[in-house]
Amino acid sequence: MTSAHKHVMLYLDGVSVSFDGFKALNKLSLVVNAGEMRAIIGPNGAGKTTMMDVITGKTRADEGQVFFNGDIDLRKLDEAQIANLGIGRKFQKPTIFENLSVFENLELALKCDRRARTSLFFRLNADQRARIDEVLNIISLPGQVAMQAGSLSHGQKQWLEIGMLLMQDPELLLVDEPVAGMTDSETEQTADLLRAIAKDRCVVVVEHDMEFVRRLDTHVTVLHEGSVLAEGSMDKVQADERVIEVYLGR
Amino acid sequence: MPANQSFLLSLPLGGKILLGLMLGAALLVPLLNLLVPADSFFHVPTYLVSLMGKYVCYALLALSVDLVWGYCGILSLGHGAFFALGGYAMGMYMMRQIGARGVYGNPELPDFMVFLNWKELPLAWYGFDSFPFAMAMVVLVPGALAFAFGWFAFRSRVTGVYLSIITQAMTYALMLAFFRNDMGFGGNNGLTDFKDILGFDLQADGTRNTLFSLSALALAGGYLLCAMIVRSKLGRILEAIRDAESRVRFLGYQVHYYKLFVFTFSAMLAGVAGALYVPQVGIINPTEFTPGNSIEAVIWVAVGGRGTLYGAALGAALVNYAKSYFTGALPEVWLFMLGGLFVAVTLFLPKGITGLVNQLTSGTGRSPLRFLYAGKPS
Repeated sequence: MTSAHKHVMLYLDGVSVSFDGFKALNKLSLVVNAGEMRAIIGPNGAGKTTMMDVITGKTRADEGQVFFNGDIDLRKLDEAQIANLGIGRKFQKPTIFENLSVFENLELALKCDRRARTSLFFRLNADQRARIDEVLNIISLPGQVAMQAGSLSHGQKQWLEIGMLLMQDPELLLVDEPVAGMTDSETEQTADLLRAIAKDRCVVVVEHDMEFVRRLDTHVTVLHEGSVLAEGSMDKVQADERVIEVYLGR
Repeated sequence: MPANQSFLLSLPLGGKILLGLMLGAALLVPLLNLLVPADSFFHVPTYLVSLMGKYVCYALLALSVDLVWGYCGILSLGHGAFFALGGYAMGMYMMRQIGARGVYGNPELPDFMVFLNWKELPLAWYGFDSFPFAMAMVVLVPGALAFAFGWFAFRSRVTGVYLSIITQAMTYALMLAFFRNDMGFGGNNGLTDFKDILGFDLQADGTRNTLFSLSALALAGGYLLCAMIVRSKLGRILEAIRDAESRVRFLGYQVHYYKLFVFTFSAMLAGVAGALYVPQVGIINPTEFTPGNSIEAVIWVAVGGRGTLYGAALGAALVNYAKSYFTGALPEVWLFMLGGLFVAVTLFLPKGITGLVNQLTSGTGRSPLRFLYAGKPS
């Protein structure tokens, strides 16, 4: 790929993954441009999470191409290398470090040298401290800074994880079901948070909650049985015959 | 990694007590042994000095187990191997010190080699007549084994019970190897009949006291080093790996390098413990490699409370004191007690004795001893 394609943040072409004969992804092709926010929906087993696993290096694609930021081949890299390229991932179930404090969770996510040697002698500088404070405000947790992350509410844990993503300062954020198990008001705040984040980076959101996706007001891709079924605005895909069939059953 | 006064002050109370005890004992015990007359109540007999020295070495081994298990979630059931290798390195130095004073009077070869009709010193023994070389090997041999083992295990992402099983296989394999006469380390008799260390008679009270003091200082120093590690950012990454390993990878950390570092460091610490242990007990043989020893070390840590460092030292001292007492008083039941202790701690004291004490003093959470307060409003 040439520099003419640099504006493409994520490029998947003909990606297939099968587990014991079951095709989780079936020649999936998807392009996400820099600065774009994309919502991915689809029924259970459509391959949404597997797609994220392939992008972040957790699962290897059997065939197909996966490129990041134009010409970086993600298929050859492991999870940590991919994360350091600038791809952040938020999991379906909030995965934070429960025994560490909110502050320490953010500190570990802070973008900096990841080698063991530097970690041993690491000390936060003033800029980094300021950045942590800034993120604490964005995710509305400044009052919980010293609290053990495990004792946060479910919604707060989700936000902390989004905050950790912000500390990583990624170019591309993959967010898996950010509002699962949230109250209505938490859901609303999360939508605002994601929209604010999407202003200066590329965000891909996987979600079940149609109302939430509508609120994000963005381009939607519908996955079904491991490939793209439809793409377009929320209104357009909701009017699509095949999408209705897949969601409502035949 | 702050190595200053405020670092010392910020240590938990248990850690301060451990440091105070070890520094105090390093000074006081030799005084009470050497200067206080034998009929005084305050006199510490020499056998007790060596017995305590042995416990302190076990505590250092427990500390090394706690560093990898309590903080990084690596349940090593083979740490006894690193302890034994450190012990063998020290033993080999002391064998070479015997010189021509052995039963066969061979100035070059240890007795067991003469007995086996060997004509020259095996390659593996070269250099062990030098004390600095032997001391380097005390940390380098366990360190190198841990590094090689960890390199393959951690890169292949072997974790949990599978990792525990292969650590156990490692120490078992070493035990079988060291039992063989042609390994050149004394076969099943191991190395013994040591005479002196750096020219000091091992039976002399002065030497025994010095070894005890050195062990106590090694435990204090080992505790400080481990505390520095676990309180650095690297330490928090280790805890994060213990709790959610794959999440740490997605944050961009190469988990296996972190595990490799802490596993290797811990093995070196265990090696030092073994090296201080051998001159105080006077023998090292392949039974030190039995998986049972490594598992016992894990029990000490569980009893004391893992993930605290000082709790590991406490657990080692308590369980070994109980062992010394009960193997004398009721030898048949000791193993049942040890097994029962592990079950009881797992069921009722998941955070060990230190966890119980912290819970009782802070008054929060569901106390495992809540039946004691039955009837009182909670």
